[in-house]
Amino acid sequence: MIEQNLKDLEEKSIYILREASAKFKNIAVLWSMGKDSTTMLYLIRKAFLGKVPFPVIHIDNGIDFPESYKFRDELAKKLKLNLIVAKSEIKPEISGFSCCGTNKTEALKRVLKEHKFDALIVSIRRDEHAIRAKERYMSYRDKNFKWNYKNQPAELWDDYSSNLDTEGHIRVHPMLDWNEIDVWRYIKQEHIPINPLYFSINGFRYRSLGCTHCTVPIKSNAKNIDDIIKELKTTNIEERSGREQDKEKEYVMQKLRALGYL
Amino acid sequence: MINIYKIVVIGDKDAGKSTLIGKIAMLTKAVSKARIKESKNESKKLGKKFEPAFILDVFKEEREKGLTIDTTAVEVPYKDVAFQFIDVPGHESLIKNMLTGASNAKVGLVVISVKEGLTRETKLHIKLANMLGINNFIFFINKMDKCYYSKDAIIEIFRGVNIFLIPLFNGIKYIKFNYGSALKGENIMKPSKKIWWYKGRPLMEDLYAFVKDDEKTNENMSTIISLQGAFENKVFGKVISGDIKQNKYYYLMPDNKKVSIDEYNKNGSSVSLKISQSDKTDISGKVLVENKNDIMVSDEINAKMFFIKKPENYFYISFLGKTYKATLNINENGKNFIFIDSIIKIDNKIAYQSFSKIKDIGRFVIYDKDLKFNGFGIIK
Repeated sequence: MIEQNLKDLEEKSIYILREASAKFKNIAVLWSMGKDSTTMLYLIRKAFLGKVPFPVIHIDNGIDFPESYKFRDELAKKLKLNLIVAKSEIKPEISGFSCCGTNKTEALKRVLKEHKFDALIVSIRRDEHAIRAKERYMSYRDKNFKWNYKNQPAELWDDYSSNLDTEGHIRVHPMLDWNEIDVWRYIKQEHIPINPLYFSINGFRYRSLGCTHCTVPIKSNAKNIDDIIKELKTTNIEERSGREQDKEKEYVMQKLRALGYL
Repeated sequence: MINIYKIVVIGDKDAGKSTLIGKIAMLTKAVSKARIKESKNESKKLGKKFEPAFILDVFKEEREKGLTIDTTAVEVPYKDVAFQFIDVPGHESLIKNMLTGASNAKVGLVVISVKEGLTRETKLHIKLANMLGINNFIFFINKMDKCYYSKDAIIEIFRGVNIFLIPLFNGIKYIKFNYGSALKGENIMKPSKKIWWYKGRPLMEDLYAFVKDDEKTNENMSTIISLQGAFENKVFGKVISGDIKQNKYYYLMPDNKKVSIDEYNKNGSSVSLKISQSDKTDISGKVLVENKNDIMVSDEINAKMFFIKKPENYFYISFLGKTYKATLNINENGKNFIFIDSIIKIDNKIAYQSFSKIKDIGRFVIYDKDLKFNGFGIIK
């Protein structure tokens, strides 16, 4: 896995975050308690003089891991987050595509409408998924949350002004350029607290965190950040291989994202 | 940590751009086995032979139609560097996605199908890439297998390209020709025996030799900082040239006000500053300069512009993140893809410099009346 210059990545992420804050009135950040969105909180603190000046949304379907809830509450307190927990209801008969499509996205729609957010900071990365690789740094979703992937805005140089007329909201993607290994190197460098589920217990660890229904651990003996970085240097297995299979096939992700999924 | 070089792969539709990147990604093992397998399965389902382009063209519509709709990028490690290959659509109607992909690249890898030659779309791509600031091009004459790897087939293309490149606006620093077959993997990683008459390096070695040679020239310029906005008692900005010095006077332009930087914090070129200027409303789009002679201030700028659709009597430009209304007095006959050299009048003064001197403050994005993207311009 390619290790990039963390200084360059940080500089650009901060630039994008500040551009977003200059352009939008009512921004929120999505937090899943995973490594990427937790790193995002720390990038936001760097960009905004040590604070997280935006409300932080957790879409809570009630079936996240207990470790994640504990981690959420502790970090929210430590960083003095303005945390909004948007509850979504899990119906046992719905799983995979429909589960993420309906439950999570519906809960997000409700919270956006209620708080009138015009921009959402989301921690997706290009190397996670081929569909996400086609994203822009600032990407428009219409009022029904639809992503018009066939007609994405232009983004020339570092000008992110293509979404001047909006009724929906903008997804801001400051970490689009980061690779998985860069995130871990940055976590190490910045001493960012991390969900313990990423570390190996009895030969297994979570490499990508979803909810308890859709995520399975991978075989790994990586017990700390250094081990994880070492493991990632040589792996040829996809990061999201531990996610429920159907969601990770290209067209399923495409459909999900077109409908407003993260 | 290694250096990543951004290479935009341009050219006409069906020249084999996505196929080339897909093949390179496979040969260098830059993508996972799972991703290759998925592409193989989907090729089969559509009744096609394995199509390496499917590694990049992941939208259902792209695969069914066999064309790239949106830009994407793949990182490929090679020796002690890495390349980020940016794929863009070749189709004319998707030019905005091509511009998005090309705008941040250092090198243009122009793919030309030996059967089609230097087409109108290829020329448009080269011209636009050059206007965006790319002046290094490597030409890959593709589909050599379709002409039995014959040397005769390339002579006309070679001549055409050379003639076409001479008058390009931003000049050409580096050009190189290479020949092969993306689909068959000929002359990509290692020299091809079939192209016996070509004595040069294979494509990847050509790219490698180029980036190794392209050492950064660090100009010793005075400080210019573009401002993004205010937050609490600070302003945010980006250092475009030079380095910040504390306790020194700067000029806030175009306001022409003397200010001092009392405090600053840097994350690379992203900076937060405490400045003596008290009014921070509407600070975005302005610049701080050490030396006023480094920039120009005017509401009339002389620019070279590319319009996707013919411009109406007024339009908008986005310059340093801020939007201005612009007017243009010119009668154009064409309908689309129009290049115009003209003075435009904007509704406010801006601080700028010519693109050839300082890229970051010498370029703007164009929107039409309805705020839809309609091209870009560079300041002369």
